[in-house]
Amino acid sequence: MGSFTDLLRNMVVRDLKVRYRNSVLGFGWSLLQPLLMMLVFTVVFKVLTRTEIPNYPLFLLTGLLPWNFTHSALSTALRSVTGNAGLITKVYFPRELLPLSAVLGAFIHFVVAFALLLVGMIAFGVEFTPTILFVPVIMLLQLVLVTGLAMILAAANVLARDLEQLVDVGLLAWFFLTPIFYALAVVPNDQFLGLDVHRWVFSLNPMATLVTDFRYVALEGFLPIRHTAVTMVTAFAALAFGWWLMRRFSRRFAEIV
Amino acid sequence: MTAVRFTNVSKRFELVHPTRRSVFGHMGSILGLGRKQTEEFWALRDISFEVDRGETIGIIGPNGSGKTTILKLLTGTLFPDEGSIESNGKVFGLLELGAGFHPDLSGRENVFLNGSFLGIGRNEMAQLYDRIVEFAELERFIDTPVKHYSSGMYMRLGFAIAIAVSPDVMVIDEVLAVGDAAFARKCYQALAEVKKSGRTMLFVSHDPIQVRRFCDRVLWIDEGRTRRIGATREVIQDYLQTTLAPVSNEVYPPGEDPVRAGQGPLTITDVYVQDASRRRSHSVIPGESVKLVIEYACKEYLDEAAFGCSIRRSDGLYIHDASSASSHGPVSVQPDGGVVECNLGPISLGPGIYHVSVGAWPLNEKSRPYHLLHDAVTLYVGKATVDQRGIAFIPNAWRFRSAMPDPAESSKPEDTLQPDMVTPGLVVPWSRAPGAIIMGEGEEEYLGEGWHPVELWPPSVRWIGRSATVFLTQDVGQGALVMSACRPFHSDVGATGHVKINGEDLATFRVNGMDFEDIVVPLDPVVKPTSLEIELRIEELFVPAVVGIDPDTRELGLAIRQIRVE
Repeated sequence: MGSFTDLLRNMVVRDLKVRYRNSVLGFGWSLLQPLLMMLVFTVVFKVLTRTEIPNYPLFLLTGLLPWNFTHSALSTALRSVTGNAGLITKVYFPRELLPLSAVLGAFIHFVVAFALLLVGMIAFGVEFTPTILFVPVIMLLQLVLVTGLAMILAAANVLARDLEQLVDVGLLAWFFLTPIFYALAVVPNDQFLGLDVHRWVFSLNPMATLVTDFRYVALEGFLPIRHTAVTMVTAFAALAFGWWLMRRFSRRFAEIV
Repeated sequence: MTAVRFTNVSKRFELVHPTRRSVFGHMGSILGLGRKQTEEFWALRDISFEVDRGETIGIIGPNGSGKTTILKLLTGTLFPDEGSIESNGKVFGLLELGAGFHPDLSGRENVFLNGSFLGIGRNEMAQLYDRIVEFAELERFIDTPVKHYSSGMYMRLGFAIAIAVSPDVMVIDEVLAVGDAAFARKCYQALAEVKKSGRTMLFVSHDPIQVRRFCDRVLWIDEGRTRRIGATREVIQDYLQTTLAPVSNEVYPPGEDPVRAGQGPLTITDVYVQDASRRRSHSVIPGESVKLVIEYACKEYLDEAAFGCSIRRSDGLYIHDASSASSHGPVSVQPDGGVVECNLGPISLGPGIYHVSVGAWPLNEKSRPYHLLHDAVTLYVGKATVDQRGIAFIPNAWRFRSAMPDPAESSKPEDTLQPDMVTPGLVVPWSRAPGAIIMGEGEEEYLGEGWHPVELWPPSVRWIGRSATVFLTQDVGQGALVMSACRPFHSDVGATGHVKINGEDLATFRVNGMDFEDIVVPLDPVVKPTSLEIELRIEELFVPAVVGIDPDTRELGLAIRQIRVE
């Protein structure tokens, strides 16, 4: 693996270069795109639903930035193996690098776009708390989770291409199940199968935890410990399973792709 | 030391049948659950071989025989299902030139990207960079995205990278047909250097001539199994005989199949082609005279027999059909058998592979033949000159005169074609012949392919079939003809030739290897400048002259660098 870090870097750089080649703003899009999304959501929810959440644009941004990372990493990683069939059948290199480079490319955008949040916090006069230092920890935790899922999707998509059709819908559903543009508090907290809905969302949806954590540590100065521990287990389990799946099946990729 | 070792390697693919394809069944079979929904196909079965360090091994076989699978297993893109593969050192495959290039990136960026696919770091690649760009001849275009490259440029860059990174084991798959002739030549030279530097190469090709050039040994695989492995010359010969003339030399027993075999009592026992010097031959050059010889045995006296032959090109095109009936009517056949010769005259076929079928039948009953042999002989027609192409060879002679009509000339009858002028060549002005013909290193001319001393005009060399004639002027007091020659490329077989000077057979020479050596033929000292007509002829030419897409006869002859009189 060691001798291939250079390849990984080159692949990430390749994807970034290719993505912004022939575009006027180039890398600036990694800031502009979430900013525009934030504007759209703000207009829709502020005007149409008259949401009561304070500093709503910042609230949105803390949800949108992690979500964008997950979304773009997974949808790129999904096709990272199948889309590079030409490479896989001709050249040998560790196949894990394909989803990994997709994830890292998206992660770079995530990190850069985080600056947007800092600027927004200054603009809205939000007080900086020491817990903001934990933002990198939350980001890395999400990186672990997303890497695991990316590997699972990339490998599974080789075995059954049907996944490509499902993942778009799946990501949309996941987006709505994650408290990105709404606060969990607005969801009616009914009992369902002996547990309340909020608990279900938290225990089953690691993105819900991560987005909420991101908000807590960045905006509210609150350090969540308990449910983050659960997410950590989920994230590392996903990574382990993804890694195993890649190890197990990557030898056959060149035959199936 | 062993560089590559395959031990009982088998590779299985699963063919999914469209009717059985379902998501869950497919996933189930991959995860090893449930019943198999697929059919097995063994692309390779029990392949074992070793390649020593510094050795070049060729892999030949028909399409789909598993050649590329072997290379993919070696480069690691595929994994064997059974057996094991060991390799020492860095393996790099030229499975496809430019594999891994990203179309939107520039040539420069792709060089580094490609390097990292091979596990070569940025710094190391930066050192190789200039050499790569220079070799690929892409200095002007290196910052252009490769999607704008022509396919030739694309491949050149791919090849340049492969050569520059110089892996321990180099794997080459059918890639040398890239670019123009000049670049292809450069590629060959570069590969020859790689070989010389002691690196191991595995070379896959359909083209036996390419394989012969480079390989020390050849592995012939057929339907995934080892058919033969051994010295290049023997395996290639065997391969060609089997694949190109599948029914040659096979005598059908009479009576077994009325259409193909005939029903006796006459049996054709041998068929072959004879060249002008009455030797059996398989390869001829357009313009050479050949004879088809049919030997037969017969159980009884037949008084109304006819013999015939037909020629097909390897792609099935019907070329020619001849029968003794049209010129000789009924032929009587003695019970003890005999020989029939059909003189085909100077070969007027273009370069290619031809199959000759022969038969004998009762004069008035062609539908009930005594004996038929389909594709009994395979004939390889080579190139008479390096640029000869086209399906036929039409004898030609040239005359040059001024535009002004010469009344005396026009009253003369038209020139009849002289036999000597039928041969392709040029009339040589004797008085202007040079004292020496000297080509530089890498600019050798090939006897056996065609001779073109382009620098010298008027030309003092002419080319006739498998011999070349050189005109030199001998000065006073000089007494030996010196010729610097070798066998071209990687021929492992020597060649014997003759030197004839002014019509007199003076010497026989033998050239053994690829290193240029001086052949010295003593001349009688003469007192005044004399023109010498030096004829060089090489004896054995059996190797198919034309095989594959690009007929190339250089292999057959001699590479000559200098001819001078001292």
